[in-house]
Amino acid sequence: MTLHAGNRGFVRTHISSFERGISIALVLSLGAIGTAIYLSGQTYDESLFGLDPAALAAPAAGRTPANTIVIPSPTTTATAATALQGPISWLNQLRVSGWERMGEIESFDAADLYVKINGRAEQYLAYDVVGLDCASLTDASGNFVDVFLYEMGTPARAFGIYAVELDPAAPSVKLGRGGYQSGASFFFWQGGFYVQILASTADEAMARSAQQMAAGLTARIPDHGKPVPGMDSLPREGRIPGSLQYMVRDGLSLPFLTETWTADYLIDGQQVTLFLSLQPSAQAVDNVVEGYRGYLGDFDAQISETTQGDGIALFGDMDGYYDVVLSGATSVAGAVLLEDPDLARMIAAQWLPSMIHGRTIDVISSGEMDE
Amino acid sequence: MSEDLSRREFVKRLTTTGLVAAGAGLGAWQLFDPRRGDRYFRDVLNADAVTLPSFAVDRPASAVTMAIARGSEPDALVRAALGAMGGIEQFVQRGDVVLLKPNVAFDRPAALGATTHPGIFKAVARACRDAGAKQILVADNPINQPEGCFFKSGLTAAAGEIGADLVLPRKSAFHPLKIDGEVLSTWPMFTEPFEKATKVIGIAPLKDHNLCSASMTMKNWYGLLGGRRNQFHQRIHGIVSDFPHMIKPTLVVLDATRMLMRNGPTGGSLGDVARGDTVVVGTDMVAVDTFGYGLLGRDPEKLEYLHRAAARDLGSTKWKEQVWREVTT
Repeated sequence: MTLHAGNRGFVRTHISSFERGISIALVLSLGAIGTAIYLSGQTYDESLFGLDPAALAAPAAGRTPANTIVIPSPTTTATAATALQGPISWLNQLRVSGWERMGEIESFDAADLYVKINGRAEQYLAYDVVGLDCASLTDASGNFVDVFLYEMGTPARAFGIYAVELDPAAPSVKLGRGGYQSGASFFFWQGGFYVQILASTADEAMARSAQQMAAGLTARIPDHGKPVPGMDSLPREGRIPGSLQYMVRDGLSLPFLTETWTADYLIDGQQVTLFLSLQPSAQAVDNVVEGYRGYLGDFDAQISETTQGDGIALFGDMDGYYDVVLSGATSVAGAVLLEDPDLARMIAAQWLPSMIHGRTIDVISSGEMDE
Repeated sequence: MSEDLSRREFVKRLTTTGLVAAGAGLGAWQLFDPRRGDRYFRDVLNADAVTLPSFAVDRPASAVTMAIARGSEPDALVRAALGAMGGIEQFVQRGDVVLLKPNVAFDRPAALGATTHPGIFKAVARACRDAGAKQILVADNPINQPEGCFFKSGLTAAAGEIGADLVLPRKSAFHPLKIDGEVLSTWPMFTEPFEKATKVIGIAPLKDHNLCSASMTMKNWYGLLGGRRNQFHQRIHGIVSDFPHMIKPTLVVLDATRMLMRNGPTGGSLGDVARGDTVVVGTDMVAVDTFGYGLLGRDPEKLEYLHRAAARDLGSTKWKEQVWREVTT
């Protein structure tokens, strides 16, 4: 071997067999990696290409997406303690004599709720569901009870989905808020949770067991007992039982009505729907009124507008149907699709003002609700 | 160029480099596919896709196409409806392998109306067995825990009692199915049970549905789709109207013995369920569902997927113009 000292100064002419081995291994590895990439590219992986609209939804508060790094804060200890008292813990603590848990506790968040209740999940997503934790319990005879804890984030949302599914004819029971029984199954909401306890049969023994499970949960689910903003702002007088509803958005199918409470009434022998939309600011109130003005305009309504107190009163005549709307500092109240203009004026004068001004004086307590 | 490199050596190296570069370019050209990724994989899927044969039975034009049975006892209801159709023997012969497709979408007790009633299921299975069916298969693809759904709905026990074979969905049981529908082109489907089946009967409960208003015999086939089928919810009416194009079953049975009137498709409260005391059997899913929608107290004129399917000649919403019978047990 000869050393050449050209422009490069020094050229190695001897390559050891070890170095050659490493070189060959590297080249072969590159080939193997290339082959692996090629082969994996031949296989259709649906998860890489399928669009799951639910996955695009904003992550719900309270459940951190799996790909998020959480930096503990000085208050983490308190948070962790709260988590230990969460729905999984409550389900784990369910103890009823003669009943054992069947399988594991299942947990779902907003993105995969469809796995459990496919086709129904959208209804819960409309109420910004945070998650679902559920467990099944079985007895020696093979009967079973399914316990569903829907975490809705706020009491208003828990009530909202509860009210959608409410069976107004079912007998009420003293369980959580608005508890009722259907067969041997129980339903109620408490704090930010909507609870379903579904029994496989409808006999009395089963009902007793299911009710014990329900009672175990009501003792654990936190509920501050404070008024839920807006819930009692709609008058009780003349209200059709079971008609109170709450919608996070698209109240009465109107896109500008958010955080909306509605209920049906019998007033002067006519069925009337009243609503109250709670807004965070005067500007947001103005936006709702503007939205309503536009909606009435879309139907070529004759709109009469007056100033009333701090707000604006709209009277819309849609060729035989009348809407009345009254705005306050942080809320908008109204009645929709009335067929009698005198009734519309009466509601505007006598019902709506109390709804606008009464929202802060409501107090409800567990078991008092007729919903 | 280094003066130490000979001309021969230079040409040799240049040629080698050129050959390697040309080889790499040729290889890349050979491997290059101008199709976009989604198109490429769709083509791959289509190349592997299978189609379902028709399981319908040829019958004369004068044959009854829909039978409505009223009564409270499941066995009598099914027997009466099948009898009014001309007898199960018109549809199932000795030696047939019959696939029964109930709706077992949720792990709910049968009383809640979200799933096919075990009593109706057993009555249909029994009729097939009595007609000489060699084997009865039962299949559905609930998204969440199929074993739990079959168990809690009572279908596992019902299948066991009648000697039917449960086919649970496993990953290998799915295959791309070429549908060529309005919305569904090719999609993974639970095809394994169809490989053996010579006759197919859908048995669907009648229930309210949050997204498409009602789930009946057409929507029942949705349960055989694999993949991330929830993404179809945005186009649910198009999907449902694709099903009579996708599959031609031997019969469909609408179980309206009890009906989930609200909070569907899952239900939860017995208060959501009403007694229907009716079973409908037919060969035209669109006709059966049109009648069934009326049982929910709703106007079939307003159910979009029925009219989409009828517009494509996949069935008729004018069931009264067909040959139909009504019997009371």
